[in-house]
Amino acid sequence: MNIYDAHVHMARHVAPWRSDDSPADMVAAARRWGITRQTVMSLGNTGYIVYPTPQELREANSHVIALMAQFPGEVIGYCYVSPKHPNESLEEIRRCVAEGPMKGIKLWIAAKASDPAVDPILREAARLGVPVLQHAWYKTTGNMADESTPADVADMARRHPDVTIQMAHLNGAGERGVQDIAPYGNIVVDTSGGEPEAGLLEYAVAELGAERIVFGSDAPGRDYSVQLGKVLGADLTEEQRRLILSGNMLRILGIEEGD
Amino acid sequence: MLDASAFIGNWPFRRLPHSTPETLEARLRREGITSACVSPLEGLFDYDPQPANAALGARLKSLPFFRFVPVLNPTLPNWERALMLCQQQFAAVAVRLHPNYHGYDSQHAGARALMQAANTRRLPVIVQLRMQDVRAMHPLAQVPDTDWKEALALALFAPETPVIVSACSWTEINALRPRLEDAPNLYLTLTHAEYVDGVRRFVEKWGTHHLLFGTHAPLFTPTAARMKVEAACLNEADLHALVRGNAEQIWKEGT
Repeated sequence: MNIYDAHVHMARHVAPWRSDDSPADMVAAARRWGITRQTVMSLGNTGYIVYPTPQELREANSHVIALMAQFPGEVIGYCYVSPKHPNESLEEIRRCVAEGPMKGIKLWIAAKASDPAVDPILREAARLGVPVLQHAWYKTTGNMADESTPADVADMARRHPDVTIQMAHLNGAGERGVQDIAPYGNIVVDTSGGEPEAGLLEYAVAELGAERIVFGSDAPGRDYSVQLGKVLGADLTEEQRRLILSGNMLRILGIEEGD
Repeated sequence: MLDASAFIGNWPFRRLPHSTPETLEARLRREGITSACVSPLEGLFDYDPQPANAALGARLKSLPFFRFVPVLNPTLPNWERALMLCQQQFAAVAVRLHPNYHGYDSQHAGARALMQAANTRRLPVIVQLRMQDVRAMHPLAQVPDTDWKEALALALFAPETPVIVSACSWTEINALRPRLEDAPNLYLTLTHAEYVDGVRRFVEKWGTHHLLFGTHAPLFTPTAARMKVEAACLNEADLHALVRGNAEQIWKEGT
């Protein structure tokens, strides 16, 4: 099976370890496990930038566009934008998605998903028919100031039922997060990040259905092997596993298996 | 493969698959694991872990796949008797400490006495730094991690006792690994260490010396632990040392 990893970060600040090119090292590490497609975002060239300037957004996205050319069909770029800069973000979506090669939009922690400031970006996603990848987490230790919880993402999905929203981090969401998003069929959740806890993926499949879950690793902070092990080691049917590892993302992005 | 750190029992916050000895053995065997060191999960939360130790120890007598590792709480007056019973009646191969869940540090008199008693009995000590990501804990049951320096201090205090530091992150492993020079009794499990291509990158720098394979099952899926090691594409000697040889060396020397 050709596996689709729906949550990967590549960036200039990530040091290479096998060659002189960290994206090449990551692609090689992913191929080891049959991961042949990766949704790739850069959250900044100098680090994971919480409140990026428009210039920092453009530089990060330009790097990912270059990676799409370097690894055609293998790196599928998403456009990092910030609701703190709505006009510049819409311009960046035009440059990278509407008129560029990117296939989706990435929102991180510059504003909560429940904040109306994200609405212009979501409306543009609906107009273009592209998915939005939204970070979320329930942190017992406390979320960051503008960091979304799954309840915030549920609110976003209610306001924008025409947009497919990929909520990041099943293990960060936990059972409460699964229940938050359950009523909103336009939300899928990715398995990226967190430890390889047993039982949670099976819970999510039972509550949401396998067609609403996509495999993601959150590499390089996490390892492809460990995160893939979450899915391969879970008690699932082969059809459920196929949907999570590949089928759902191909459906969301309209990719034919042979493309 | 020898799993140096696993558990059996119920977890209060989530139904775990494969939480009984029989189901866990079957699950671990599916990953190619042929032996596992296990402790009772109830040992974290029960006011006295010894009844859970005794129950698990008795069950494991007929299951040679498992190596019994009781949980001891050195703040309780009965820890020394529990240690004796677990070794004599249930063939304990090591003891596990949870300093964070049981509320003590490396300076605690009971902890120091326990380290000395473990040395007298030739039993390795597993110091568990954490059970789960603090960000994912139940909001009314938050337990901060044990600092890796506490585990190091216990190893330095009892230099003849193998001290297995379990559930380290790569940051903690990278901090502890250079300390093997002054604490050669330290061993480090890979149960919680994760970064892209992390095992291969670490082994290329430091080798497999004193690294131990562990799953943290049934809380973690053991497939992830197996794949983490496979991803490293180690040579045969390094692979054997990591998944079995280093652990066997502990018990060869320590018991």
